[in-house]
Amino acid sequence: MSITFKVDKFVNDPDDNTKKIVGLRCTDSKGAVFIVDKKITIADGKTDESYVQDAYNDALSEINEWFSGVSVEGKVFNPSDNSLSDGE
Amino acid sequence: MAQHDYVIDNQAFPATRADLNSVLQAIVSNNSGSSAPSTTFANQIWYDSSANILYIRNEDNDANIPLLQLDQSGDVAATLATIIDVLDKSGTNQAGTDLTIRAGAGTGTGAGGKIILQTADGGSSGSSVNPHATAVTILDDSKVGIGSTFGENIASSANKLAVRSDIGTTHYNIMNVWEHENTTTGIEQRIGWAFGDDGGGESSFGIAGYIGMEKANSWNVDSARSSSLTFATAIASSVVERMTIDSVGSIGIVGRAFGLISNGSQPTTTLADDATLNLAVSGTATAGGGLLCIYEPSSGDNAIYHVGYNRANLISDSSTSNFTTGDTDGKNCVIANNHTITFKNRTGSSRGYVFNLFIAGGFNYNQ
Repeated sequence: MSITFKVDKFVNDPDDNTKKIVGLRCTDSKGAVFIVDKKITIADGKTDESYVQDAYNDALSEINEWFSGVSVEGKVFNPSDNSLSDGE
Repeated sequence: MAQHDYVIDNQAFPATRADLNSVLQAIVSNNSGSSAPSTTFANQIWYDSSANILYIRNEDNDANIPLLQLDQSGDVAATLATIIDVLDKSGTNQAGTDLTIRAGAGTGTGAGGKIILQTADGGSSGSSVNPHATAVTILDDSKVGIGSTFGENIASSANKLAVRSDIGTTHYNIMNVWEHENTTTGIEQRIGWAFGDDGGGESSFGIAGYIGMEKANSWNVDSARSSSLTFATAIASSVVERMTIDSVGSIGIVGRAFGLISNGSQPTTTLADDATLNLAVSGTATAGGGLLCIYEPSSGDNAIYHVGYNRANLISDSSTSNFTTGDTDGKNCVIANNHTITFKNRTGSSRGYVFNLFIAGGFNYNQ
């Protein structure tokens, strides 16, 4: 799995001052993009990395579900041997 | 290793014989010595055995011209000539003589030698000789690297030409194409591509497209220096200009509506449920407006919004009210919050979307 994770939101939730919104922009090797936001409970002394780590863990199942789809989309199917390939 | 003044002294025979032998030793050793001969002659060749340099005296016999430096360990020679100059032809309409610079060939599967051009960049003030570094490398398979050795990361994946720069400034030109001393409006310089095999005949290869830069005026005074950028592609062997960006930033696209791709394969952005995407940030409170088109491929639903400062008005919705403004559960939401235009997926599931924003005014499109 080759996905780049970029933090595209890192703000306090305007509707809930106990939460921080952490958005992850996930991009696979073909440029497909998946954006997922998670609300993480604010805690004193919690590092930025820790907030992002929590958001990543919360979003992991959704990220995996998205990637399982896009990793197949665009492939070429060969009915003679039931194979999928990147080439044409 | 010997040197001699090339004068046989008036002396007894044994001394004369020794003098003659010394002359012969000087001749066969090319006047070798740890320094220049004490007596020199115009055009005399002599070898500096301490620096391993072969010299020839100049015509005036007042200076040494270095010819070769010999590597006595590797048994190779490096030329010290500052010009490689093939003799010009004389007579009428005679073709000039080629100059070939050739690296050593290997044997079997052994790689051929490289042609390596090195220079020494200026260093700090002082008398230290600055180190040489490779500027251009030509590999045995004709790959050319400028500022690159082809043994490194990105350069190794290039097929023919790799250019590397280590300049750290934000903007600079790694290459300039300069049409010099021409003031004709409309002349276009192009960087083109070609495909096909020219061995198969004229019909099997051709120009596949180009990027062109055209003079919009004469470029002979400061006030007349405008240009346009052109992109051209090939269709059925004809190269056609498809897009032009003119000198004031207007974009012209030929043959296809802006923002549409005929096979519908515009890239989608997938948003998890409740995830948001910042689409645009208007530059000022008086920034202009935009037309936002949204397409959701899995359902085919699409909508058009008028967006601007603190504005997101739904103009048209192809679905049964799946799109809305404001943060509403169960909907595709476009939310305007002062300068920021945001899309939020509140449909309850992860979905992919295609976004196109056509703007007038000071918007920054963040998609």
